Amino acid sequence: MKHDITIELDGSPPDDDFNGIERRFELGLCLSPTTGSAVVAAKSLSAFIDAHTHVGVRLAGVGVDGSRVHLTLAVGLGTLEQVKTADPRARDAVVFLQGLVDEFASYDPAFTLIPDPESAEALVAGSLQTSLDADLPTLLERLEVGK
Amino acid sequence: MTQQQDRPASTMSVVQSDDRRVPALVVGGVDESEIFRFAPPMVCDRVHWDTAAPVHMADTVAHLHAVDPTLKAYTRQWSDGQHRVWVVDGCGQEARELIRSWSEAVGAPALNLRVEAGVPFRDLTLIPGTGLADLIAAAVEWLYPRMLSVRRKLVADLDLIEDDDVYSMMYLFVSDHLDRYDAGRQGKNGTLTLLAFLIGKMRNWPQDAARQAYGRGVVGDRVALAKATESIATTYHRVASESERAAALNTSVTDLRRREQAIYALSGMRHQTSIFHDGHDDAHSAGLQLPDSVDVESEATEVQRNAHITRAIMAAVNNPQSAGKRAQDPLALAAAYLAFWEGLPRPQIARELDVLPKTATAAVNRVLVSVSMAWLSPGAD
Repeated sequence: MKHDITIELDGSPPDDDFNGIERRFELGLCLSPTTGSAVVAAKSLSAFIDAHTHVGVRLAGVGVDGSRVHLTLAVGLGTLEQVKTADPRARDAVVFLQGLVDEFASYDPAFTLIPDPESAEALVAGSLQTSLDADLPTLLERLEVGK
Repeated sequence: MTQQQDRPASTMSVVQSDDRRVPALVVGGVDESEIFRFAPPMVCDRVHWDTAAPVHMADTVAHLHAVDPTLKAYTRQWSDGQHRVWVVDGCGQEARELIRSWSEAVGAPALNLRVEAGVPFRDLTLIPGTGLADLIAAAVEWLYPRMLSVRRKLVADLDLIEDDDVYSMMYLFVSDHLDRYDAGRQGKNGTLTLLAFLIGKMRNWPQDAARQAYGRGVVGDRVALAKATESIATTYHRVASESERAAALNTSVTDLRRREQAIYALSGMRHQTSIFHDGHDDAHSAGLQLPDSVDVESEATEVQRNAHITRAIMAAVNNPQSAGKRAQDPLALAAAYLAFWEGLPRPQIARELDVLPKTATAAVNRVLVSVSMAWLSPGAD
């Protein structure tokens, strides 16, 4: 079984010149609702994220594969220091992830690769984040993946 | 108070009750009570059973008369195909033994032979002419347009049943119930008419039919799951999670999946060809075309498998029952993520997380041990 992984580090690799910028650890979590339930899933996901504003989370990718829509979230566990010391903010992020996994169990949440910023999935998600007149459910309806 | 006094008399409940009373049927100018007078109600014991081979019920009744001339027996065919004999009240057990021996003698052993004592019965063969058939037709004609919810539920609950089937099903349902109609019964609004009796029986018809078709357990599960799904959808505007559905059935997630598979297998009969249908020649669309290189099993289960692994890892790094910092282990989650998803070796994980190699190794091992135990423990997903 092959699993892809990407961790996005705000800042840079350990041995470059960007010293002084706090490195943060993000991991990807993908929800895979069916096309028929994607809009409902997106609305629920938006509501869930809105209720947990203390955790850093962003939409990293939106894609379609067969009968599944993949909504990839990048969830920040915190800075490396917070992760190492089990800081309350890092532990809150774990609780948030647990909540996502439990609440959206029917959409098969799974750890996954955070899409490359140049990939189509990431670009769709990026355009969504910069769009002023569309939210995720609206976008999915436009893409007609919810039909 | 003034409003109540000003209210027109026609809205008073007593008048409404009179208006809503279910009418007595009149067929060919003859009232239903006159028709049923030909077949007065009796109290009987009912013996019913199945056989693998066909049985002539007239021969069975004749045999009962021959063995015991005092044993008055009747038979009538119901739509479910079971064999039934009614005998006078108190003689059910005797009739059962006689039927058992007779069935074996004619080479059609009785299966699941049971007696129900003290049931109402009318010998409808005593009704002359077409009175019975006309009565059934009139009853169905009156009931069919007024029983929309029952009809909808039948179509929704029973696979392979379409709207067009319900009228004939209702005819059989009415026919089956006529011998049980007790015309002398008094209700709140007077004598219980045939239509009122049938309306009462029809309330449970879809549920009984589904139970008969699929078994009590599967239908009970389906009803409970539908309630839970509806409740979650209306309350939280999303589909119910597995844990919520399992709670609705008061069972584990593993058992829930087994039960859901049973339900889907039955429901799938109704739509078994729809996912393959592409609007082309049916002869060529009987199967799904897939390239040879696709590992169908792996593709079909990959999403669920990854979700499974994710749940196990989350359970390993989040233990709310522990106190303080031990409740969540973000370092182990980060290390496991790097190890399981990217396949990084331990020293590299240590560099990425800026910890000592032994710390990274210990973090990954904490997850590995917990996940292994969860996998091996009985009842694990």
